[in-house]
Amino acid sequence: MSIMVKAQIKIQQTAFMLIAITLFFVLAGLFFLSIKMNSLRSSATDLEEQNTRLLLTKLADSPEFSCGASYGTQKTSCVDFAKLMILKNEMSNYSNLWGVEDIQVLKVYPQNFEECDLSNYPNCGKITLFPENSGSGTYLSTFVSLCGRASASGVAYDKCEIAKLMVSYDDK
Amino acid sequence: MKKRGAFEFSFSWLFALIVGAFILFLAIFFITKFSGTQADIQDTKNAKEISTLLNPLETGFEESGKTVLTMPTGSKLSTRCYSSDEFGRQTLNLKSENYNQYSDNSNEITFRNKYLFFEKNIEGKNFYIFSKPFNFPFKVATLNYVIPISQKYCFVNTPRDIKEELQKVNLSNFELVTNLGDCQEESKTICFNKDGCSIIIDTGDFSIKKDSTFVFYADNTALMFAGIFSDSVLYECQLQRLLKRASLLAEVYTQKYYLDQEAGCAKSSITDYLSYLETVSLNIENSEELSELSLTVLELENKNSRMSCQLW
Repeated sequence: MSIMVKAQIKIQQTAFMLIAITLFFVLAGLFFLSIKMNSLRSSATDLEEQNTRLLLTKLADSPEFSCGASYGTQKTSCVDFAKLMILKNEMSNYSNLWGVEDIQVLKVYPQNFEECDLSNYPNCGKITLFPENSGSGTYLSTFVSLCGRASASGVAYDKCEIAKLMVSYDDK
Repeated sequence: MKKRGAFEFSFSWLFALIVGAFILFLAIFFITKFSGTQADIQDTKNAKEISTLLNPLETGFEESGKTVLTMPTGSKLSTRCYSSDEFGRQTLNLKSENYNQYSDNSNEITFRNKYLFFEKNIEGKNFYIFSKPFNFPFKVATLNYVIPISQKYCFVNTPRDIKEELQKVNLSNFELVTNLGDCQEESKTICFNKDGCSIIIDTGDFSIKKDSTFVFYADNTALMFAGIFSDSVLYECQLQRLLKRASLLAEVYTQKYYLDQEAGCAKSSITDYLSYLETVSLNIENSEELSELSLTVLELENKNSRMSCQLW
């Protein structure tokens, strides 16, 4: 074999080896990146869950939900039924405020699954603030007092019931 | 003829060396890029954790709250505020220190329901975050003030009510003195109705003078702290955001009044004041105009407290 042919074979061998090594590193890199991406996604979900959990404990005290001193004394973990009804009709203004998927309030006792609107308020049991996202994501919940104004013989009185405040977050 | 002792440098060697160097360069390039990205991810995660940590500071009917924020390394916090949209938004950027250099992380965490006040580009490893509710006259939001623990603040000639508030918050980097001369040299000085400090508060016209610019707080303590602990640009922008939220809440309370009426609650003229607050809040362009609402806020507070069915 001539020196020229020998040299060509050697170069070809080296080139194949280099391609094989490059492919190996690319595949190993992709594998590593996919593992990293998965762990990143799971830590994003964890952070989202942690955020929702902490938000849930304080959401009832945020000005858009809280009873304040409206029903007697200052109350914590008390959601104003009237404010919820108003928010429900104006949700377009509030869609991004809390950064969650959905917020629902469900009367626990007496149980009533009828969705609230202004025609059946306050004799209903469920308020869904983001109906378009209802059921999506993972829900976390806490118990709150749901207070509103009711009427007996034309006289207003304060009525508080036990309810469940549910907030859902996006699973990444 | 081959020369004795000469080093044979064939083409294949040269080829392998060039390609090897290229592969090595690529490897170093990607590792540097990857570690930079990892640092950015960590910084963004930390910024998100800060925003999560602020949730428990949301005040209920308590007057204030505080927490200590400890970062793994020295960190630089910066923020941007946007007053457009319904509630505006604030972004938080965190750059952590690595080998005496701050990362160049440009990722930001955005929030719409939080109001952070701090000086431009604060640095440190430990920070105090204390919070106060902003009532106007109903609660609008919780304001959070971020202060590096290493930065000392000296309050001179502080009025009694504010002194009591500061004592309740009990931050180790706050000094309360009567004379300016009693302040430590490295402290940032805050004088009430007195010249000679880096920040001067006039409790007569409710103004705060800082770096030769004025902001106004309309006798609202939460806003006064916001003016002290943040730069004027951030303060004005956050105020716009707060007023937008106050306007929307005024609308909610107006509608709540009518719902209560249907249940049999007594009539009141509170809705006139609520609709004034709702409209004027949106038209206020800077803190100097805030005084236009002071009387309305007082009147609303009085009217609400006298109602049989209070709105808030």
